Amino acid sequence: MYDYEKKGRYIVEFEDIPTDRQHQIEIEVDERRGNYDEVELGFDEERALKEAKRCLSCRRCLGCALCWAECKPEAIIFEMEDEYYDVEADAIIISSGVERPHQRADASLGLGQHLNVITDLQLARMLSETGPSRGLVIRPYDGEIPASIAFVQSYESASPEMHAAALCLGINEAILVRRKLSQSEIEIFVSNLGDFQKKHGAALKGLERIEINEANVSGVEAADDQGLKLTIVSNGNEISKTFDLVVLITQPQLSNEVKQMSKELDLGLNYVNFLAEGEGSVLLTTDKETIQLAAKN
Amino acid sequence: MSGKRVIVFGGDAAGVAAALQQAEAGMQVTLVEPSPSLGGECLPQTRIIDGDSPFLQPDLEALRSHPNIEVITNAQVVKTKSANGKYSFQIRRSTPRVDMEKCNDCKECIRVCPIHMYDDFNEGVGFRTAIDYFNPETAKSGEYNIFKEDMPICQATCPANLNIRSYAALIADGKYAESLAVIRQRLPFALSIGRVCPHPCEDACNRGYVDEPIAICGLKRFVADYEMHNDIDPPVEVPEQFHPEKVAIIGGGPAGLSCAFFLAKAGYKSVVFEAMPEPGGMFRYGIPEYRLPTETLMREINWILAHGVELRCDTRIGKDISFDELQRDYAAVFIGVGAWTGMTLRIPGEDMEGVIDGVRFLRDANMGKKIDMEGRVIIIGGGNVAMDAARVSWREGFDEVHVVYRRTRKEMPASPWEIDAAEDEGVNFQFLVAPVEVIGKKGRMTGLKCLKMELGEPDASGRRRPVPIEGSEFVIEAENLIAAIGQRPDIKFVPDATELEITRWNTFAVDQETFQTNVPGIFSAGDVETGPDIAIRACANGRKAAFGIVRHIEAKRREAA
Repeated sequence: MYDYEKKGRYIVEFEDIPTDRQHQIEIEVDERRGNYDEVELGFDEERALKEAKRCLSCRRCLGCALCWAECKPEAIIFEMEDEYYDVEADAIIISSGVERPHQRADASLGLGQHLNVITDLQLARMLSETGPSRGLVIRPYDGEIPASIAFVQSYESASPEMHAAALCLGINEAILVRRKLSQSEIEIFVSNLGDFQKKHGAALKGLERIEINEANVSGVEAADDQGLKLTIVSNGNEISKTFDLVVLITQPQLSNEVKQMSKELDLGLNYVNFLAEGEGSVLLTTDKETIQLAAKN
Repeated sequence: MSGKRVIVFGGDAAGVAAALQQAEAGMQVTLVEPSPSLGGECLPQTRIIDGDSPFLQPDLEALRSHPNIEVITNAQVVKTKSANGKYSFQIRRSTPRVDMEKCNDCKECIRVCPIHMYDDFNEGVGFRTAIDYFNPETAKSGEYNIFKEDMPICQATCPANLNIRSYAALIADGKYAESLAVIRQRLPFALSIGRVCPHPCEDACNRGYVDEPIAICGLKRFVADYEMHNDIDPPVEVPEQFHPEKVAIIGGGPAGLSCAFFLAKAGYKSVVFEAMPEPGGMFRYGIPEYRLPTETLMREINWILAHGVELRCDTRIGKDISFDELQRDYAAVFIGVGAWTGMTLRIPGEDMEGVIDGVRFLRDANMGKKIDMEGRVIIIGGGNVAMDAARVSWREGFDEVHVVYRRTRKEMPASPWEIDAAEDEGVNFQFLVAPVEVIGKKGRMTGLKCLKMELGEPDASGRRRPVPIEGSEFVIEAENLIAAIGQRPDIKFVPDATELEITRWNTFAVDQETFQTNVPGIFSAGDVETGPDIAIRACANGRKAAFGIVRHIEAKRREAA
C-alpha cells in the first residue's frame, strides 16, 4: 500500500494533484487564417483547479515562534527592523561575477525530470566540505556513490570567453570528483574544443583518467536502476551510453543586478570583462574612470 | 585617512580581494553584499586547477579586522544617484531578526523550525529551514538569519507584486471571486494581463526546479474569464465622497488607466485624455485581436471607467488642448503616452512604397483598416512586435511571410511560445540575415537585398554580435516590408518651457518611488518612462504613480491650510 514511486525531485505524488503543468486550450492552426479569432482559450475549470493545486505555496518564516520559544539567550527578535544606510563614494567597484541560470539548460537533457541529472553549480556545492553532503559526491536519488559520471554541455553556443569559463568549471569539477572517487568512470561531452585545447593543452594532458569528447548529447532518458541513457552524436555517428550521474555544464552570463546597475550608472559594460586571467582579483577600468570591475579568475 | 571613498558591490572572492586592496591603499571602503554573509569558496573559471587547494577562499579575517572597511550584508541598493563624479546610494539592510550579540550558536532554533524549503544556498540540493545560518565555513559562528521575505519569489518577481500565492490557493479552494479580488488589489487588468503577459513570475517559480513552473498567467486569466463568462458584474468599490482635486491623465493605455483606477480607489477623480478614437493604448492598438479581443478589453476598461474616471477620446494634447491648460486646471498631470514611434532601419530605399513600421502596421490592423498590401511580406526584427506583425500578416493572407533576424532563434527577444506559434502558422524564419537595401522599381519595393551573418564576439547586451559574411549578398523578393526593430516615445507635445528632464532614450526621468518628474505635479509611468517594456510593468508603475500623486495633492492641501 505504501510503496509510492518517487518520480519528481522530492515531490510525493498525491492522486488529486497532477505533476504535469496544464495546457491552455487553443484553436487549431487551420482555423486561424483569414480571421482574428482569439487563439488561446484559457483553462476550463477542471484544468484551472488542477493547475492551482500544483502551487507549492513557497513560504519562508511563518512567524510560528517555535524558535523564539526555544532560544535560551533570547536572541530572536521578530520586530527587528531593516536598516538604511546612505553611502557616498568617489569610486565604484562592481564584482558580482557571472551567474548560471539553470532555466537555460536544454530541456531534452532531463534537468528537473530525472533526479540524477544535476547542474555544475549543484555539483560544486556537493564537492564543498560545507555543502549539503559534506563533500561527498552522491546520486540524489538514493545517496549511492556514482560509478560513472558524464559532464554534458547544456547550451548550444556561448561567447568564446563564456564557453571557456564553462568548460574550465566543468573540468575542474571533474578533477575534484576524480580525487574523491578514484574508481568512477568520468567522461566529458562538449562542443568546440579546439580553442580551449590550444590554450589549456598542457593542463589537459595531466588529467587522470578523464575522457574529454568533442560530441553533442542530444537526449537523456531514464534507464534501469535509476541510470541515465545518453544519446551521443559525434562526427555524425549516434551512440548511446549509460551513466549513473549526469552533470550539466551550464552557460555563464552577466547577472541582472549588474546589468541594471550598468544602466543606472549609464555604463557601457562588456560582460566578458568579468572573466580575466590571473590569480586573485584583477581590477578592470570601465569607460568611466571611477568605476571598475573586479574580475573573477 | 585618505578622503577617497570606494564602494564595492559583491562580496565574492574577487570583491573581497578588491576591498582589501583598496583599504590597504588608504581608501575608505564600503562592501555591499546581497546575501546574509560574505560569499564563500568558488572554483576557478579561467584555469585548470592543480595542487591541493582547488577552491578560492576569500580572506575574510583580514576583511573583518580592517579599520577602513565597513561591510553591509543582506543589503540591496534602493536608490542610485551620480553627479559631478560622485556617487550616492541608499542601501537597505534587510533585518536578520537574530541578535548576533546574544546568539550562542546552539542551533536549537533550526531543530524546531517547521519550514523546510529547498536549500537555495546549495543550489536547491536538499533542504534548509526558514531560520538558518549562512556559510558556516566563513564565519566564526554562523550568521543566523530568519528568512521571512516580504513575499515569495513569484510575487517579488512580478513588477506589480501580485499576491500570486494567495490567488492560486483561492482558486484551488474554488473561491474564484475572492481570488480575482486579490488580483484587483494591485491590478485592474486581470482579463488583459491574463492574456498577454510574458509572465516573468513563471520563470522564477520554484516549481521549475522540480518539473515545470505553475501556469500563473493562465490561472489569472481563468478567474477573470470565469467572471466574464458567467456574466457576473464586477464590483465597483469607491469611497462615498471624492476629494475636490482632479487629475489629468494623458494617455488611456495600461499605465494611464491603472493610475486612474487607483486614484479613484483613493477618492480622486481623473480625466483621461486619449489621442486615439478608443481607449486601451497598446492593449487596443498594439496587441493583435487574436491575443486580446477588443470586446474583452473593453469590458475591463468600462469597469475601470465606472469608478468615476472620465474619458475623452480623439483628444490630442498640443493640438486639441494645450499642455499648459492641463497644468493650470488640474491638481496634477500624469503622462503615460507610451512608445509609439517605430525605429527606422537606416538603409537605402527605406522610403519606398511598401515599407511600413511594425507599430503602425499593427495599429492599422487593430483599427480594422483594410491592409492595402498584398503579395509577399518581410518582417525585420526578433521581438514580440515582429511576431505580432508576422502572425497578423499571415492572417491577412499574404502569399509568403518571412521574418528576417540578424542573430539566431536563441537570441530572439520574443517570447518562445510566440515564435513557436508563428512557426506553426507557417511563418518562414530566416536567421543570421541582415537587411542592406530595399530595392524596387519606380519607387515601389520589389525585394530586399540582404547579407548573411555569422555570430562573433558578444556585445554590451551579452548577446553575440552578428558579423556580415563578405560576398554573401542575396535578394529576398517581396512587395512589402515591415520594420519591427524597436520603438521610442514621441514626446513632442510637451512644450519646451516645462523643462522636463528627458533621458537619452527620449523617456522621462522620474523618482522611482513616486514617479514624479523633476517638475512638481507632473508624473509619468509606462513605456514613456521605461522605454518599450511589458504591459504589467506599465500597470504596476501607473499604480505607484497614483500613490505619488495622492501624496503630492495631500502635501499641497496641508501647505494651503
